[in-house]
Amino acid sequence: MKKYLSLGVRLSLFVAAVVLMLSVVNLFTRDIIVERQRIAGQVAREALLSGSFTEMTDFVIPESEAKTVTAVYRAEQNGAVVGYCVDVTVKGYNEITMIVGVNTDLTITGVKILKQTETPGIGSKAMDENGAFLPQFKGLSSRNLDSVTAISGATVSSVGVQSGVRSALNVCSLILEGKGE
Amino acid sequence: MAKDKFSVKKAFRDGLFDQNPIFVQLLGMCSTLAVSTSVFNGIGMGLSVTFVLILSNLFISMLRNLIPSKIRIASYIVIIAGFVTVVDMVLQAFIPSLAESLGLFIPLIVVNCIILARAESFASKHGPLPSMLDGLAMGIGFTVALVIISAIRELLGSGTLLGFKITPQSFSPAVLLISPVGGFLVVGGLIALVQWIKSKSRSKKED
Repeated sequence: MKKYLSLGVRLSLFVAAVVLMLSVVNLFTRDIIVERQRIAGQVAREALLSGSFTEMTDFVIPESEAKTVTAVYRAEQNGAVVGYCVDVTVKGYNEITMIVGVNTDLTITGVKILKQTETPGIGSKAMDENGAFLPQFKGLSSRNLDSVTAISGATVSSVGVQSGVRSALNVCSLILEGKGE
Repeated sequence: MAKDKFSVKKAFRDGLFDQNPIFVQLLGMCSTLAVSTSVFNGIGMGLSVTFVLILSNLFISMLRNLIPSKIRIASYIVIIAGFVTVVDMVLQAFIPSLAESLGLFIPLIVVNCIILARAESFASKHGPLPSMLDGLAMGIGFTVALVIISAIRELLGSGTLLGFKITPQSFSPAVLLISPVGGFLVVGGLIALVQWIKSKSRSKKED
């Protein structure tokens, strides 16, 4: 009995020492990681729309889109709303995190991929900002969203992105209806 | 210290060639096949594993008389997982592009059998300094093997090296090599090559 207790105590001591080490490293890296992610999002938003961005924390994302849409930012220029940036997470083969820029007339200004792990050389073709797929979204609205052609061999990734863009448009149209702008 | 004398030269020869973790011991195949699609990933993964190997070998060797043999595997895993998490956090903070492309495979270093194998077969029987050197040698062997595999796959599969376009426009990259199948083909070919060289040098010695 005593023998087993001492084993447990010793293992707990090792764990405690490792946890201590990790908390020290976390202390140094946590802020940098959060800051990096914030800047990456900011850079992507600025490429999609001009103006200053504020997160719409009081806007309640409808339940039907809550799974995909994670945040909405409002872009304002000289006091007027010029568009919205929607943070979307969708499923391709793996999780794809992206930002969709939408004008106030509900046309898309562009799609930026923030994080993805699609298969290199296959699904990743649909993730390339200068590739054949993503630029197609620019200028489209929900009416002609189906006109985009998926990359052959990367259908799942392409369709994933497309469904995310649709969610973003849905949310934006709800916002605009609600405000009557 | 162990009975048999530790030789730095032999440690490096083992790590790089005679006991190469990938080509001879066939350890850590899962992450090897998955990350070796580009040289950048290969180097990043190799160095991350080397870092974890050196530190886990060092600490396991220092604690080897304190770790009861009944719970040694659990203790090793705790120590290894600790250092892997350090690597994960540091990469996310300072080299986010690498953290992104290696993704899940960084946390998975914990279960990379190279590290546990060296802990069990070397660090638990040797002093801290030889253990660190063993970690370094094995880590370099792993890194070199990964770089060779990923260079072949990236050059022929994407036509680039470290992201720079190498092949002429007319060359159409063989996407097969970037896919998992290509990984197996390249690794298999290289293992055969290493075995061939080994058997040649062996038969020379016998002559």
